[in-house]
Amino acid sequence: MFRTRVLLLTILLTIAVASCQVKAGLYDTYPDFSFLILSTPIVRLGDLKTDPLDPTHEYFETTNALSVLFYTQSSKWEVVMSGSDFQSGSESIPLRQMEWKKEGANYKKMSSPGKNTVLAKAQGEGNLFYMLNLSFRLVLEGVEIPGRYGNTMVISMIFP
Amino acid sequence: MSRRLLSYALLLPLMLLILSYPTSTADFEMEFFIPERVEIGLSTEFVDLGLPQGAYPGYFEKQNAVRVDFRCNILADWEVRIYASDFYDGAKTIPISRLQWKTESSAYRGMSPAGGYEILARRRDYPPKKAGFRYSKSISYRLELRGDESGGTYSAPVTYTLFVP
Repeated sequence: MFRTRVLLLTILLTIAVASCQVKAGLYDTYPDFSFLILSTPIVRLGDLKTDPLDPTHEYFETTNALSVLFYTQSSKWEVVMSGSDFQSGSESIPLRQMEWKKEGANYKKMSSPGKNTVLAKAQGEGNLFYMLNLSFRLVLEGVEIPGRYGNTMVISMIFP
Repeated sequence: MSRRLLSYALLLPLMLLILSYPTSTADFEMEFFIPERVEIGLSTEFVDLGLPQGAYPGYFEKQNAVRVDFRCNILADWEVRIYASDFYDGAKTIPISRLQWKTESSAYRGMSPAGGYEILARRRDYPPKKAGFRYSKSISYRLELRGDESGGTYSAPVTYTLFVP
């Protein structure tokens, strides 16, 4: 009887844990109690802009569109971002066309799909709480097919 | 025995929980909208062919008289067409087919008669990956006189159309 109850408990607990095995959302937690939180689930790049000096230069830009708040006690950490190409039906725009920057810094190119772009990393003794304000820019090459494009970007903390 | 079983019962889910952490993510969606672009523009609204040149009956010519900027990023067989009507001065006319035109990279050719059209550019002339770019072409005009034209100040409307089927 006791064995049956234990078995039942095990099965129920396993199902409960397994059901939340893949978590995707605005926050990520880690075994050492580190965590990170994103400020928004959707970043919209807004209206297409044109460089007044060069009308052929078209781009999207949104400044401080995403805040990443994270906490860690670890002395070695990296916050990384990765994503896939932008898709609109069968059309796609390479992720490498997107640039990102931290507040007060210059734009940098995104890595290829599936590869991590390091947003920040430990620099000696630091705080426990950190905040990144990210801006994004996507420069068009002129060959893009019209449509509504989107992708999923992942931000996580790694401890090398 | 029972305690050991209970331990396993609690340990297994905990191990699963720990193993599940590396697959957890914080993610967000990125969105943007690229609008359709069907654009055409001319550098000028008026072209003066100037004074006749050469020996009688002479000819009019205006090099790079107008620049045509166009762009179409739609996946369709677009064309830039040139429509024109006969030159007129009151009741006097000169057929528009006597007007010749050319781009920087082509030789002069006659305009189609009124009601017809010439093709300045079309999608199939460009590599598929570059067909959505903005392009420019400079047009030169030449009108050779035959000597049978009545005197007067003639004008003709010339229309550039970006045609998308």
